[in-house]
Amino acid sequence: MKCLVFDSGPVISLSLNNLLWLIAKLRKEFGGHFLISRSVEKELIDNPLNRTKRFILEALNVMSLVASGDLNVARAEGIKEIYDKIDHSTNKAFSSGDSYITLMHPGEIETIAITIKYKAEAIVVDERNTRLLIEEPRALKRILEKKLHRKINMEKYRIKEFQDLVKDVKVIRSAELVAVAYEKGILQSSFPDEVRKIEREFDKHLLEGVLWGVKLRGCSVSDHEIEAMKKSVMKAWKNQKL
Amino acid sequence: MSSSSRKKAGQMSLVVKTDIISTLKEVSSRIKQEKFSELMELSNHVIHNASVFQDEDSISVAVAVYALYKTLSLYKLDHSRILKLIERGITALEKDDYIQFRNSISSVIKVVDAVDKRLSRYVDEVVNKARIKKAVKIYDHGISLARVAELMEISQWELLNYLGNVKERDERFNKSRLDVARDIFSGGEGKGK
Repeated sequence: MKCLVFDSGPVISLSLNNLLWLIAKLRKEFGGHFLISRSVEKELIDNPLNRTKRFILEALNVMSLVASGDLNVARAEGIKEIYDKIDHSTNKAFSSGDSYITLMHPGEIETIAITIKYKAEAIVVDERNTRLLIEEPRALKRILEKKLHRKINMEKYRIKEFQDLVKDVKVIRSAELVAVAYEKGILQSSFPDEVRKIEREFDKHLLEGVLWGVKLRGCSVSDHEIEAMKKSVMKAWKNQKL
Repeated sequence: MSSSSRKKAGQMSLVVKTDIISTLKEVSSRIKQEKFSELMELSNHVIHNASVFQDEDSISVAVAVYALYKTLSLYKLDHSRILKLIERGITALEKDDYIQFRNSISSVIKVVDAVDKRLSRYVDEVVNKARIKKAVKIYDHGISLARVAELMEISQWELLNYLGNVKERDERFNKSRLDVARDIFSGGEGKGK
């Protein structure tokens, strides 16, 4: 099954930037399923509806995507073994003194387990720490030591076990999603031509706006990366227009 | 080894206990000297333990101290009640009376909350804001977003609204990540496949 698995962060980030509609457009481009775990669905929909008044409208918008099938809640049957391995290899990998540091939440573990089980094309994760754990666990150790001002032990065999599990997992962020949407002209098409006539630098501002928008709503992307992405994406967009 | 067994027993690790007592003594001294701006650093100190041990006590003390920092810096208040509660908390913890200690910290939070509700013109309550600020700190320490949200009992929606303030590592541009995304979206229904 061709699929992409979403963590809650990218959906929230797109929603807070009024870009949730991109999910349906991108799914069409993708031609497969966009999956979320049951825990992610709970965080995106159930919690705002039942626990806080602030994000009810946003939760209803996400609910519409689930209802239309643009986001599918993945069946979690058959992931227990992978789940347990991830839980054990991540939440018992780093310790300070005699205390293990619990890094991952069951929802995030479930999301990675689903990615592995369904052999997804990629996992969409905005937050830095899960991404680092998948791609650069040593960098995460350095951050823990620097920020907590104490020696952190990393059990290498557990990290190796985790890295073996995620060796085929590719990670992208909402920053890449909006970049691709830009390159395909999806973002531009949502604005009337009049705007382009009024704002001469519309193309540049639009790209800058969406990249900074997702960054300021939790997508872990550095200023340097945004600058480099802008150049690469603008170049691709101009080449496509020619 | 895990903190959950200690939590169930209503106890706390010696490291956490020693650190909380020493921090609360510092907090009390700073309040007496009206050096409120130094309370923020003290709340950050406790949050280091909150990241490692992920215990409710370090979290509630960090939130209480940060909320005190905000409230006392903003409003001129009689500190005597707050100081009494802090002293009571210290004494209780020194005697391993965890119930009394937790009641004292919870009362500090209630006092701050009541002052804030009485005096603030803003909807964003200081205690809730303190939870979010401390959550962002724990995330910055390396704990995953969902785990932080769970620990601090706040929603990821709220947390993500503030995460843009975290200074990111100066990560180099990873073109292959963008290429992966380009590749993923290169052959769907939009391309007629």
